[in-house]
Amino acid sequence: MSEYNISMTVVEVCQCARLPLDALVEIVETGIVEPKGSSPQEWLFDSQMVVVIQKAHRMQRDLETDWNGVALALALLEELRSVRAENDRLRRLTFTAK
Amino acid sequence: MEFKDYYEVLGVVPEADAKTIKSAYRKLAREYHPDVSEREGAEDRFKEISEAYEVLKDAGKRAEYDQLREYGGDGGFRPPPGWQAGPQQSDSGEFQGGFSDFFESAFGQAGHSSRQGFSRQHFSERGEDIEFRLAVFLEEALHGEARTIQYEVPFFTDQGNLARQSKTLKVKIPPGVTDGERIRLKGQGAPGIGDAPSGDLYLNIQLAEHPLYAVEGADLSITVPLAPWEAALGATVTVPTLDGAIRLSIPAHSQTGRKLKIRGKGLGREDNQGDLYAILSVIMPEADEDCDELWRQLGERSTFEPRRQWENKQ
Repeated sequence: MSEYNISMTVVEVCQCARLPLDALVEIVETGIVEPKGSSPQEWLFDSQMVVVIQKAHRMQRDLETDWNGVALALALLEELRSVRAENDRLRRLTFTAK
Repeated sequence: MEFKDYYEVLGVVPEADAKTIKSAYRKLAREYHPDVSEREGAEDRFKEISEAYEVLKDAGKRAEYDQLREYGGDGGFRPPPGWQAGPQQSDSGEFQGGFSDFFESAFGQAGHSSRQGFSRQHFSERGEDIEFRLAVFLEEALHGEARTIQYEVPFFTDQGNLARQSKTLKVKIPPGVTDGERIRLKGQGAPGIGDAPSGDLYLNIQLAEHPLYAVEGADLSITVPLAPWEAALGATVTVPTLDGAIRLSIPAHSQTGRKLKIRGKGLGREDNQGDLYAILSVIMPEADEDCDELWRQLGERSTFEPRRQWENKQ
């Protein structure tokens, strides 16, 4: 009964993330996620995108910032995550003798 | 019930103006927001902060709160006799657990009070979707194991009050899941109101850190310690993978940091099958007189110049 790699339409995403349509359009226009399809009627979001959308929504609301600020913060957080992963690998390489 | 000093939570004086409160909140929110902060306890701290701001940013609520504060600010708190929580709207406090008992008793049920008074016959709405963070070990992620999880769902009683109910569910982790993947379990969220269907449960997979393997998407990597002579002459070493040890040939003259790909031994599945990378790391042996003698002989005979790239730059 469990599903993964689900694709969701605009309506489903708005319902699932409790997000108004115009906010979702702004999220896509800012480039925070890039759904398949060229117009909102055709947009399809995968499950990773929905996680990002929910995160973006919480940040925009709780940090009282605009979508551009959210996009910048998300990009920096992603970079931080990948730097941390790289750092983790290097740490294992250097201190493996102990 | 414990009285909450919202001014203290935001670190402002009770006379602070709206602008000061706003900037104190924004600063703390950036520091403790669970989507941004890696700090321990950030989520609980952020809940406190947003609860305090929810009240203090609104002149009406703040005035009510100041009254309460004067009345019962020391030690235990009971709402004054006849105190009636006004209907309030709130869109915050959605992180697991919601706002404190103090908030609920002073200001009503955040975010849901607007629905009070609707009887089940006249109102129907699809149940809330629930997000559940599931920490998974790499071994469980690879093979896909069953886990029993417990979570809370909000629901409305026959009287129209909001309550929470604990739910236990056995879930099967799909084999090959990767970090950050999201799994939908249809109809396992909060019950709907009236005839409306239940919401869904979403499992957000978070892989636990593993002592041997680092994870990047579906790929894993493991550091392979080598003796200097193994790196020089080549060797066959035994490498542990998530499903059993394998024999790996190390080519002669390998440097530290060289990556050898072991196809198909990562996470993932079907179109996204990950690989395992063995990353070589040359380790010096501990001091040993016999060894030192051999190193000395090697040093005398070798023409190797490890710092050639510095030549002409000094």
